[in-house]
Amino acid sequence: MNNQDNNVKKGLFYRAFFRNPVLVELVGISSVAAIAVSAETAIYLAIVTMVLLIVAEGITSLILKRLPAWIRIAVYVLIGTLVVTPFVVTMQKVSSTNLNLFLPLAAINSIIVLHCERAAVRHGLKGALRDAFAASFGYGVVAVVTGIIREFLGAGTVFGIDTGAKICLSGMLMPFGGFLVLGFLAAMLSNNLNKIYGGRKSENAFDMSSVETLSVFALMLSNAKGISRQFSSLKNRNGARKPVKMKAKQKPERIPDAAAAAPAAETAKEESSGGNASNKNTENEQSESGRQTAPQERTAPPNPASYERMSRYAGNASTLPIVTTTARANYTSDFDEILKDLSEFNSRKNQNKNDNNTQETDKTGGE
Amino acid sequence: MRALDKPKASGKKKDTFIIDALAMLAAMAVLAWYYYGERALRLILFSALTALLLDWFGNSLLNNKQAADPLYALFTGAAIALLLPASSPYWLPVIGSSFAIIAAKLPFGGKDNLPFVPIAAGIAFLCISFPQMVFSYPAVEQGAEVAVYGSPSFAPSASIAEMLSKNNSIGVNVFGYLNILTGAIPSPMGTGSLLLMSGIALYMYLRNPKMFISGAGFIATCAIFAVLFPRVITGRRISLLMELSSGMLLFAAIFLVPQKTLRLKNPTHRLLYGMATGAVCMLLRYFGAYEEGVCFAVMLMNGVIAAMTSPRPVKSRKSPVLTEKKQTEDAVSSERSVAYE
Repeated sequence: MNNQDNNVKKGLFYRAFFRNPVLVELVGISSVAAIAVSAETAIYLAIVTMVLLIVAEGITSLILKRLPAWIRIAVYVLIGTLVVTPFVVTMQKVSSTNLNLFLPLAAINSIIVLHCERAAVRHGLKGALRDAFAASFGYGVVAVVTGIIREFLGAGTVFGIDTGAKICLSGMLMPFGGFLVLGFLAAMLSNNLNKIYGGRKSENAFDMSSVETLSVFALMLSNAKGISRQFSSLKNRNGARKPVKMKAKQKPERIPDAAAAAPAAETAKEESSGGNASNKNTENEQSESGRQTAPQERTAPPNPASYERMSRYAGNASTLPIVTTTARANYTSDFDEILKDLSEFNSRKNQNKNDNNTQETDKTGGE
Repeated sequence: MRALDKPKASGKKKDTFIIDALAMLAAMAVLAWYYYGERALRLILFSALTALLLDWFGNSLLNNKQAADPLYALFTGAAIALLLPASSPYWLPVIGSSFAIIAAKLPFGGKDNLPFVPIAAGIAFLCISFPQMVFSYPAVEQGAEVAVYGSPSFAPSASIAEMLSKNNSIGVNVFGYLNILTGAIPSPMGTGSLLLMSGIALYMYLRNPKMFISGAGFIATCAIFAVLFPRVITGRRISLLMELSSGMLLFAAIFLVPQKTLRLKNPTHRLLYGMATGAVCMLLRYFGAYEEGVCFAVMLMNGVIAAMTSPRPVKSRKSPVLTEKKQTEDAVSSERSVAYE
């Protein structure tokens, strides 16, 4: 189960605030800064975004999954326009609030593309709706809080009620005031979340690696199939957000200098004597891995299939700058299979060792 | 051996910019007191104290007491007050210095890591929020008490910047050259006197000539603009005099443009930065919404320079991407090594 699945199945609070679209993922900032100048307009923005996101993610999870990514992007804009336009027209007739040019621009909010591509494409209707509700809830809370603060500082009112403040900083009603408020809110959220989640760092970057559109372009450019080291680092970044500290048990044991010098000398002799190409390749791989082992051990991979997968995994395949979701799925399955093979191999090895030991003890006992 | 153990004296000179700047601000405060009385001193005091307290309190709250710099906070607060008219209410410089410290200084750490000049940020915020208060100057009447903006007795006078924006020229009946030299003109409290500002510029140049390169480029560009594209029809010399003596231009050239935090070590780059700031400033004066655009120009160019120059490397911190990559490689190598066993 990858990170995306984990995030979708986690609680509302976690997904709305730890992965807040505005303050953590940094999407949809401009619309908040431009529209949320008062609490009322912020509520309108929150409602529009929630409806829009739920509709878009629902349609994407039901229908749009089967379409190519580059078509889906255009469809998102269409869905946004279909949802936002009636809302704006109705609000202009019903409400006296000046909904300026920026509210219609919510139709092309970047939050839609990100969450549809991240969650709706990979999950069913239930998961997509969960993600849509959580994201739009977090978005709406931030928009309303920003609107209240800006309205209070800029106009001296809250929800249109006069607070009696004599000094009004009209600069806070401008977009730069919105960005300032969002900056301080992001800092506060990051600080508090670190306390709540035990120092775990929030994802403060807009991670486009999981959006498939870019990967389509990458495929078009590179036309390559395979898994690279960059890919593995991306998987690590997406799969395990918390930087994993290597435990002492996981670290490879270092061979003492004297022991390490002997195989090195042997390899030098082999090279001077003109070893074949396959041997050289294996030696290079081992030197990359930072592990020096005895030459007898090097030439015997545990299992042909697993060796093939491992060599692919280690970067022999052509490099791919941005990872597709399908490739990631292959990668994860490959990785799991490798681990299975390794565990099988280790168990067999232990069995062999035990057998050898028993045979030796039998021999010595016999002598 | 003892002599060797002693730390060698570094060849670098001690940074005296802030002390020199504070000394020069004191001279400007004397001028403000001379023309506007005790009210000017009170404005400066409130603003400086606000900046000082907020800097100390904010850094204490953020557990970053090392970043607290009382001298820089004093400089920021006093300068913001001196760039405002004497008729401004007491809360106006307090808000300006609060914004400068809270929004432009505290989030970025100490004074050596500031992407934006806090003084420019504070004045820009006040210009946007209270343009009428910031650009309404009282007439200079020696001995008379200055009326506060908004009070019935307050009568705003046209400053040189306002005259330039309306294409009006100075003359014998309006302002004489002596008025401009001595500072007896409606202007920000501390920057009215061309004579005093020239003396301060000369002093700051003599104290730190390398740092003044950007300021020189700034003034030169503004002068070229004033001569080539005069806004008054009375001549290029008058245009040059009016442009240089109006508003906060000379103050910006001395204190705002030459900042150490710019990460520009090459003198040519500093000169180009100063010239670009001057060009932007004059364009804002010519086509902008306000009669003065110095603080906006400084902030714009601060942002450009911050975006263009790479951040300073921090040795103690490793980038998360690199560490993750390394960890992944280590994990791969360990798995492979286990497999070969």
